[in-house]
Amino acid sequence: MMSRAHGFLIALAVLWAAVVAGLALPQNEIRSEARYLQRQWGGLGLGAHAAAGSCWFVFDPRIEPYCPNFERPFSALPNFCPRHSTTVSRLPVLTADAREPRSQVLGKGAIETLPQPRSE
Amino acid sequence: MPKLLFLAALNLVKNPGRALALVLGIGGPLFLFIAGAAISAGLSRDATVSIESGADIYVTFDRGGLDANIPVSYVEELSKSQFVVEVRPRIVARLAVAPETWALVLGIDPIAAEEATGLQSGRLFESNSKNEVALGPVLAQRLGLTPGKQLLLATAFTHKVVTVVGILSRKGTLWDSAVIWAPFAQAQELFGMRDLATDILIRTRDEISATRLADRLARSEPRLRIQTRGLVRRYVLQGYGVTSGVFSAIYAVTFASGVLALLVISGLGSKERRREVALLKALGWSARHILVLVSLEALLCCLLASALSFLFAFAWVRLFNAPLLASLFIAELDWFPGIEIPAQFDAGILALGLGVSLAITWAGTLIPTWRTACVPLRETLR
Repeated sequence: MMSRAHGFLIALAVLWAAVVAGLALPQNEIRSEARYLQRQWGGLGLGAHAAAGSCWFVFDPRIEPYCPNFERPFSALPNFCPRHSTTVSRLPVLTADAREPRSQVLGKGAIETLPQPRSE
Repeated sequence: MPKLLFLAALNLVKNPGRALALVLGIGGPLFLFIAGAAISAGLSRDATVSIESGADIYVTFDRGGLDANIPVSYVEELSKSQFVVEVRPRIVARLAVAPETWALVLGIDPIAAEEATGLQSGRLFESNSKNEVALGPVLAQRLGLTPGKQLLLATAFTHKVVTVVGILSRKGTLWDSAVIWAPFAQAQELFGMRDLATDILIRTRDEISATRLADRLARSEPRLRIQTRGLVRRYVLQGYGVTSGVFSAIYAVTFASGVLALLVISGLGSKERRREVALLKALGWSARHILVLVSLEALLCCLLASALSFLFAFAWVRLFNAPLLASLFIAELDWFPGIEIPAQFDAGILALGLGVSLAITWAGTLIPTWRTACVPLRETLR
């Protein structure tokens, strides 16, 4: 039994040596082929989606900034897009004014302070 | 301490069933977590290539928050700006080429100055080619196409027979797999987009020029949707992480199997554990020493589970290219992916997994052991 305990500890040490060796191995580098194609295409693909079959947004939000599947089938409820809710990426809606929107909620009386539209 | 460590190992060897249940309960979800996190990190790295090798500014029309096609006449207009180095129109569309098989049609003229290094076989078409295309490796394999073969592309606007002149390399990124790359004019004809493009790519002198041009365009033409490289970088990189998406499901599995593991170590094995504690107390062990022994036992179990999960995940993803697993993390991917799955294994993720598993097992073992170890020996034996 004693020797089995020793064996267990030695096996554990060997396993962890293998883990450290795995981490120390060079990770698969970005290859020149990938850089070449992305340069040629001006950048294509950002999310965890291989073919853009039904959801452009998760494939590349530069092509479609918002997932239209969120609107369907129930327009007033939060909907589910099976394409991008189940992947390793969870991309936010890509629009320039998402963080600094042009529209805003107005306080009481603020309407008078807004510039009035010019009447013809 | 070395003596206690040895005794903890001895305890595990004596109770292989309990140790095995714990290792499986922790190791299963940890395997999924490590593999998913590695694929997420690999994709994030590839996304960085897509951003950094891409354009400085993407311009398209905005139609109520969604993209709309932009007239090609903007290319000439935008080229006049002092900030601009290069302007290229592009068409990105999808087309069903076989039942249940979508192709991503990319219409953009190649940059002739660069040597074609992204091809697995064949050659690249010329910009003025009328009926030549290059295919992504997975699509070519699925359709059984090689250079020299022909393909009929049918849309509502036209039927066009094209010749495959090149197959893209498998060593590219995930997004190359199902591409049909054609010259811009050919894609325009195919989708009936005369004088239109889906977006216009602008390369500027530097990042400051890009910001100035983007501001100027936003002010002068409110119909345009303008995305700068900085905006894309900021938004996309926050989309990759281990806190949302499919990881929520992995955490649910971890929680469920953690509960099972806890049941095994604290509930089902409690009688056995009480007997062990009583025996140790009879031999004169203090409660502190018993707790150290039990926590070392849990530590050894977690070290074993995390090392095994890491090695299995590493072998499954790096050596076998993640069969059956990659499609859980990447949408629209085959069970046996035909392209190299990007992955980056990180010591931080392993440490996080080990930490979580330790928290679960220590919570499950230390509390019942402490309750047993603190009562008088006579009570424990009863």
